[in-house]
Amino acid sequence: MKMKNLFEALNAQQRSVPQLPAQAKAKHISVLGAKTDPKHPFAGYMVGADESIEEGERNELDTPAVQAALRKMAERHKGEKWSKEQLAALGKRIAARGQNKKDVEETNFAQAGEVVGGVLGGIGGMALARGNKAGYVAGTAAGSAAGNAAGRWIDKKLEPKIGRDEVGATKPVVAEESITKEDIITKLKAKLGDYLSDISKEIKKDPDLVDKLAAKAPGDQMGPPVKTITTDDGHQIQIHGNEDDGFRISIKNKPATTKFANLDEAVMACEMYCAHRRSQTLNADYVEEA
Amino acid sequence: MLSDDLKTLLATEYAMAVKAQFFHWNVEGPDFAQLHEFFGEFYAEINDNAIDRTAEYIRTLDDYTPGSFERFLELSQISGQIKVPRARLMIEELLADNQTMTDLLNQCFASAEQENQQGIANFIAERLDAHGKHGWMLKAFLKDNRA
Repeated sequence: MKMKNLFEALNAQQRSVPQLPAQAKAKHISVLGAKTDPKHPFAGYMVGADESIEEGERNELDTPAVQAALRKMAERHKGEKWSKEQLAALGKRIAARGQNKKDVEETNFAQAGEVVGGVLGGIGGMALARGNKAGYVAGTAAGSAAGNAAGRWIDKKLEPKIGRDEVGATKPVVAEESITKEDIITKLKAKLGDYLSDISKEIKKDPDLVDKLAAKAPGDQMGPPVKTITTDDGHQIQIHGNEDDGFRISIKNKPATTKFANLDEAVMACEMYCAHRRSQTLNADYVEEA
Repeated sequence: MLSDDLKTLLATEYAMAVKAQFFHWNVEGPDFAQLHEFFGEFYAEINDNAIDRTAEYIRTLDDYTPGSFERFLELSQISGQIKVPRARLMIEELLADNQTMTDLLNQCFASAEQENQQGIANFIAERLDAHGKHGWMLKAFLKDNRA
């Protein structure tokens, strides 16, 4: 259905926005038999939000007139960097200006039409270029809502000419480091290899390192005593250790397995042992052998 | 079964000898010299006259002889002592163990006669005489001083 017939079927109020009459029926399209993708019968008419730019609208932007307008615009704004938001805002300003008839100036129609035709890709822009004010109003109303969508289209078309950074800049795809299981294992192996190599170097420097480490194994060396207690029968009880590692007791140079958190507890244990032995001596039916 | 009774006897003899030697080492007090010698003769008599012969009689019955601390602990009817008793308590304990040994020897004698093992029965009879003598001496140490 041609644009001219559509507008004739609408009343003045309906012409303010590109809408289809209630009785409008889509033309049947034979997809299978078509050599090329047929044009959508409702292309160019707003349906829903601004993102729902119809395929027909996209095709309208590829027309020679629009391409020419784009080239003019590119030459005019060569070297400038326009963001898509700026382009969309421009389209909206033009559309808003067009709706207010007082602001419409004859001299700006052609120029505005080029911009609209190039930026918004709207039908109204092309109509304005031909001096069709009504068509411009209808087209810009549709184009204002499609300004953002058109800006995305412009990202692709104007990107090499205007500014890669601002318009449609595609950030270089940085392949995210895909962490795979093999990578983790490789890293662990590298760390382990470094660790083992460090140990081997230390052993080469000090051949007695292994013996020294073995000698420091817990339970073998308790270090010098920090306190010595003598029992009534002359035996010595020694307390070894520190606050960090704990305290251990040795009786007659035989270390006990029990560890004490602090020195007070170790001393208390020794005193209890001495008291026990003292009571055994006084009532010495049985004496501990160990 | 006689061989099983003899195995029990072997382990019990071993435990008694070890305990007597333990007392021989650790006895203290005014009677130390006498008790030290007495306990020494006590365990030496068991080692020389009982342990080896009991083991060989087990072998004559075509059975294997136990020879580890673990097996002796399983079989022995006398328990060990991990503390050091006073001298008098040492004697009292050995006296009680000697009575246990006498009861076991009587059981072994009955088994030997039942299986018509006269040689083993004779051996058991000799051991009964020895432990009878040990009992006598131990009781004498416990008597109040009659001097």
